Amino acid sequence: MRVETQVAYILHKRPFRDTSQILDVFTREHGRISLMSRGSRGAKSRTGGLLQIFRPLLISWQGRGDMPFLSRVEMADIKAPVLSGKSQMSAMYINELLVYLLHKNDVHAEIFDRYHACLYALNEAENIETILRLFEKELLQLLGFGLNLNIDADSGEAVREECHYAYHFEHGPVICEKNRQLKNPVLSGLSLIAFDHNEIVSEQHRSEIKKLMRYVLAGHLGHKKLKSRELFRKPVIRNA
Amino acid sequence: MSPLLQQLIDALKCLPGVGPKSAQRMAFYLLERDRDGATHLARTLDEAVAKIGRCQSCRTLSETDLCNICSHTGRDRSKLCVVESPVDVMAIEHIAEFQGKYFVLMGHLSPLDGIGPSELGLELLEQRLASGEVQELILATNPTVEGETTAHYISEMAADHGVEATRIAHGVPLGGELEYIDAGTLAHAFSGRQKIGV
Repeated sequence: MRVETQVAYILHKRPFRDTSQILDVFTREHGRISLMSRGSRGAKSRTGGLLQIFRPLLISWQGRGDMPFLSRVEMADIKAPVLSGKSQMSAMYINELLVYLLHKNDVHAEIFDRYHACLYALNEAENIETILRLFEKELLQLLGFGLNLNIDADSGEAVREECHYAYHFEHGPVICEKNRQLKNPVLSGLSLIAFDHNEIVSEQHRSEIKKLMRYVLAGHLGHKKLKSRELFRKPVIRNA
Repeated sequence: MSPLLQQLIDALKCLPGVGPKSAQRMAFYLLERDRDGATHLARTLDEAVAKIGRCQSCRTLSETDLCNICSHTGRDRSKLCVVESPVDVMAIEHIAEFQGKYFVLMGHLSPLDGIGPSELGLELLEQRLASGEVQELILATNPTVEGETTAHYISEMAADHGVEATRIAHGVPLGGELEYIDAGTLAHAFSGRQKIGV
C-alpha cells in the first residue's frame, strides 16, 4: 500500500537500531499510525532534522502490515507553531494525552484539526491553562466520552449556579453540600455551567475545573500516569 | 558449529552496527589470528564493566568517585556546562575552548519515554546551583524539541537560584550552503544573527 503526502504531526519518536527510528504519527486522514523511518538518525540523513514533533509535515509512506515505511517527508506549506518554554511543555502534555487516548488507525480528523489549532493557540497564548482545559474537554467529547456538565445525574434536574456538585466518573455531577470532604472533585454549579459554555472565568473556577479534568482523565487513562506533569515546576519561594 | 563459538558470535551482536555476519568475522578473527588481543579485550571489558560507574559530581562515566574533569583543580568551577551524554563532553573537550566543568544528564526530558526531571538527576544539579559556586550555566543540550524543553526547564531552575543561564548557538554549519539547509535551521540562524564588524 502506498499513501502520498498526508498532513501529519509526529507525536513521538523512538530510536530503532543504529540509525532508524519508529515514529508515532498523527495524520488527518488515517489517524494515529506507526511508521518506520530508516536511516533518518544518521549523520548524513537529510530528513532527520525535519522529523521533529510539533512541526506540520507532509508525509508519504508505503508497505503493509503494522509498520509501513516512511518514504518521503516535507515541511507543510505553513509556518510551524513557535513553541518555547511553558507552551512547549504543554504541547508535550497534549502529545502524551493523544498517545494514550487515541487508538491506532482510528481516523479522527476533527481531533487532528483541534490539535493543529491548539498548537498554534499555545504559540501566542497568555492563558495556557484555559486552552488545555478546553482541549481536554473537546478531546473527550470527540472520543465519545463527552462530559455531562449541566444535568444533575441523580435527579435529572438542570445544574443550578448557586449549588455545589460532586462529580462522579462516567455519571456526572450530583448535588452535595459545599464543604463535604469527598474523593470526587466538588465544583460550584457556576463553574460547571460556565465550563459547559467553554468559559473559565475566575481563579477559583480554574482550579475547580483543573481538579475535575484531572479526575476524569485519570479515569480514562487507568493505570497510566502522565509524566509530562512533572515538567511543570512549582514556583520556588526564594529566600531573599 | 561449537556451542561456545555460537555463544561468542551472539554476544558480539550486542554491539551497535554489528549484525550476524560481522559478528562471525570478529569471532573468527579473534580466535584464529589474535588470541592475545582477545584475552586483552576480554579482561579490559570485564574490568571496565565492573569498575566504571558514575562520577558523583557530574554523572559522567568514571571509575573514580570524581571524574578527571571534576577533580581537576585548574578548571573554572564557576562555569558549568550541561550536556546530554558523556560523548558530548568528549566533543566539547576536543575543541579545547571550554575550561569549566560539566554536568551530564544521560538523556533528555521525554515524558512519553518515562523520563522526567528525577530520572535526569536534576536534584543533584539543583544542589550545585544552590551551593552558589556556579556563576554561568551553559546549556548544551541538543537542538531538538526535547533538548530545548530540557534546556528551558533547567534555565528556570537556574533563575530560581539566581544563576545566569546561556544556551549554545545553533544555525548554519561551517562550510554549509544556505541552499541545502532545512527551513527550521535557517530560521533559527536568521533570528540569532549577530552584529558584524565594529
